[in-house]
Amino acid sequence: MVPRPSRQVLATHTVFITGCTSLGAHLATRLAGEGCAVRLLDRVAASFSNLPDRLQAACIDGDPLDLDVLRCAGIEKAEFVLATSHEDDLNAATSLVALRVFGAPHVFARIDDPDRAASYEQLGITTVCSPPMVAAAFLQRIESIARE
Amino acid sequence: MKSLYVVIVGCGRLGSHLANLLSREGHRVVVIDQAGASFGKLSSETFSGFRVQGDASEPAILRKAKIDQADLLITATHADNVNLMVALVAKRVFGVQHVMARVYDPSREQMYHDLGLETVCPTLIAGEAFFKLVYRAIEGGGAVK
Repeated sequence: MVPRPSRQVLATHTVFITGCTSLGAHLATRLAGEGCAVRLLDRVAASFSNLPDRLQAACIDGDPLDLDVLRCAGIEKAEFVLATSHEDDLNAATSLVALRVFGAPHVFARIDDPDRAASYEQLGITTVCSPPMVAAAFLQRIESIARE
Repeated sequence: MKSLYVVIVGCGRLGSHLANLLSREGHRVVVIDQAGASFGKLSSETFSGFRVQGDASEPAILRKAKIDQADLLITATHADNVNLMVALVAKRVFGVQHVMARVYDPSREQMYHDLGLETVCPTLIAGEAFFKLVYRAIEGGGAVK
């Protein structure tokens, strides 16, 4: 287990999230709740409608591959960029832009396809590939049912 | 380890992966999917179960999969609403002992549990992986301004 930093420490960090998916919204809600400054960017303004009302986050609609949009949305002030859209390629491209153009210190990308995750890692992108973890969670439970 | 009769609804990446593995391990597996083309993901080498093409929210399709014999039903379609509906019918109408549903929306998990359904939430699993990376970077100091 990685310990959660204190609220005071988290409050000094800005997190920039692209893609207001269920994952993006989940990350935004918890990190904002823990004190981080959160900025959310999505191509579709309607995506923000499923966010909780109490969420303290800046929501910006625009293209995550448009450098002006990224700059205006405040990517330069972010220590963390989390690319969480449904599209692996978009997340990889957004991550590369954040790393190479804006020099973001920490960039993490959701990549659902395990093969792609491996090749993007070789490009220097830190990836989160959850489908194998999801399958493992199912299998663990199924094994315990089979042992009953 | 006993051999289970498992019905899997949704032959996407997750459903087909589980079907191939469970079938190889000797469980009896039936996969239901609306699109026949999805069954292409089932491995000709490891999958020796059955395929049922149709809409699993129709009880007739579940009956075709011999749901009354199932020890376990897994809903793995891409739509939370479909997963909930099918899981509930399996549990309440057909009395399947173990019902597991993939649920994307974490705020729905409690409701599923209240209804007697087990859940796996990809959003929470991916979320934990992201939180770990963020916390580790902060605790590690270094590159953080």
